Amino acid sequence: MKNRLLPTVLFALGVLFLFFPILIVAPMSFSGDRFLGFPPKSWGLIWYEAYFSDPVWLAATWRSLRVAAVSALIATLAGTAAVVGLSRFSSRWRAGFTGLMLAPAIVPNVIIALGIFMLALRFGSTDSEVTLIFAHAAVGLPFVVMIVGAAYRQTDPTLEKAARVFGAGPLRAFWTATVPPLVPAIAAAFIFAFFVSFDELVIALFLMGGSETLPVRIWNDLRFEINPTIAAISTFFVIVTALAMGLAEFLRARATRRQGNN
Amino acid sequence: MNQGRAPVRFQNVSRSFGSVVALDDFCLNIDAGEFITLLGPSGSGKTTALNILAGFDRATSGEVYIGERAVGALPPEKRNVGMVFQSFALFPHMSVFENVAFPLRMRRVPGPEIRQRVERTLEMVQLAGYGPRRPAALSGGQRQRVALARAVVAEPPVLLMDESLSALDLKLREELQEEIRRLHREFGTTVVFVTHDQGEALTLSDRIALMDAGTICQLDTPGALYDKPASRFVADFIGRTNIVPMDDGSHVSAVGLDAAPDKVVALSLRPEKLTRSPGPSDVRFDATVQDVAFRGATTELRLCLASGLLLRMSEPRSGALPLPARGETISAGFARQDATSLYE
Repeated sequence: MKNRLLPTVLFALGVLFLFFPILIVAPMSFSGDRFLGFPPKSWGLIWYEAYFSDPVWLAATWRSLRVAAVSALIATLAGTAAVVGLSRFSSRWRAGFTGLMLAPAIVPNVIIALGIFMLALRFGSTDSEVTLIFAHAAVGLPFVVMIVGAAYRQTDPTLEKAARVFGAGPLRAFWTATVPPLVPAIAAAFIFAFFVSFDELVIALFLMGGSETLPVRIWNDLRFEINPTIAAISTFFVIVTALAMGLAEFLRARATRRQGNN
Repeated sequence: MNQGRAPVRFQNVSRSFGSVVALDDFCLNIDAGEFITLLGPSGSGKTTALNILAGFDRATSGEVYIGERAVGALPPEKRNVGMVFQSFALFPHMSVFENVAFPLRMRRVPGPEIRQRVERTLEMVQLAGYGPRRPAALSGGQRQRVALARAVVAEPPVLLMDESLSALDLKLREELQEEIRRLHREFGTTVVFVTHDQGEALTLSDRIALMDAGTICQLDTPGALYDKPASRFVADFIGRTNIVPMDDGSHVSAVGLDAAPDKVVALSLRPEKLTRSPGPSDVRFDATVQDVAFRGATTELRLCLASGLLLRMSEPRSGALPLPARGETISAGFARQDATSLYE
């Protein structure tokens, strides 16, 4: 028993450290005070009301959801296609291209932001949701390649051969034999890519001057005044994110288990 | 159910990967309805030949015929063959029923007929009622039965089996061997079976093509391959045997034989052809017993001859003679015709 105490304490401290911001922010969001402070002196839902009735906040929220959804869709399609396509390459080319696709996860976002910003200036496409969508798709791509790639490596390559022998053409075999076992992983990858975009501030700051995404709105808001609306928004999205990430992890684990059993 | 079985012909098929020749001017005529096994060690070209027949690989030169049709340029889905894979290759997201129905759906067989044929085939592999289950919920043997059902459900004229039983343990393997023999009798399909397991090949095949280095060393019935191996490689690969090399003739005279004709390079003596009983054997020799090993139904003796040659001898345990002790000198013998001459 004694030798299990230390790991338990360390684990608890680790979890506390990770959850500390949430433990502070969540109570503050239910504050009835005019200003951000901890602990709140009175309680209420006024800041949630403020959020849901402010057209500027809501516009930013919708914009973020839109950008996240479309960029995640692009990243998922491109990433999945890349995983499957690269498996047909020789290992040298595959390693090279995979490295290239994982790069956005390693290169600091500020560098990516600067690069894309300069490129966008040239084409006059700054302050555009389309530009932001493609930038976010690039940043989400590594997660798709990693998640779908791991699932793909576990699938049996003879499945596609079997489909062919039993009468399916190349496309049919791909859709009936290769893709279905990957669906849970693809869904999980989409959710990850979605939140990569939804959380992203730096690139959006560079690209979106006039039309703010939610993180940009929060950033701009914090610079001028500190009010508990932000705590309410944060809490709301922590809950939404936790649920979605839980779902993604569930799908991923189920995909692995199913493959493993076969 | 014997309609639609086809002969298969490999005509001068070669396949090389860079400088490696996997299949070298490979020729093989397989009769309609025949069960033929491509047997050989890994790298012998047996899997390459099967892949070329299935359409997963293309010959560098030569042509393959299924029936009268040259299929070398056709994709796998146009060849109308069935196949059982070593890894089962069942679709994990489909039920057992849908797995077996797959070849029929691809051939656009109408729904009611699909149901009927799938159920009948599942019955044939003793899996009636397993239709709604997922492959993941089945044991290894059951999965391979599903794979068998899927391979035969569309009654393809040719059935390919790629190391189909190698992933299973011994008991299941023997069980499924019987099942495969029965299915072959019932469907009468031409079967091309690939394995490295000589026991399996002997049990299942009408004929065996023993392969090495991309060519066929010997093509014969299991009995002929066992009794009349053409070369040292064949004698050694099929069953267990004692090779008595010619060399200077000392080993041959140690087993009591005269020097053989010039072209013979060695003799093959099966362990079970050696006997200690004085009766029918017309060639006799003396040997020292090095070891006595219990093998269940048989006892195996290791004998050392005067020339230094080691021989394995296998005798039934019901033998009348008491077992010799280690180090004892015994007299043993064999019938002259059981010493097979090997020419290479």
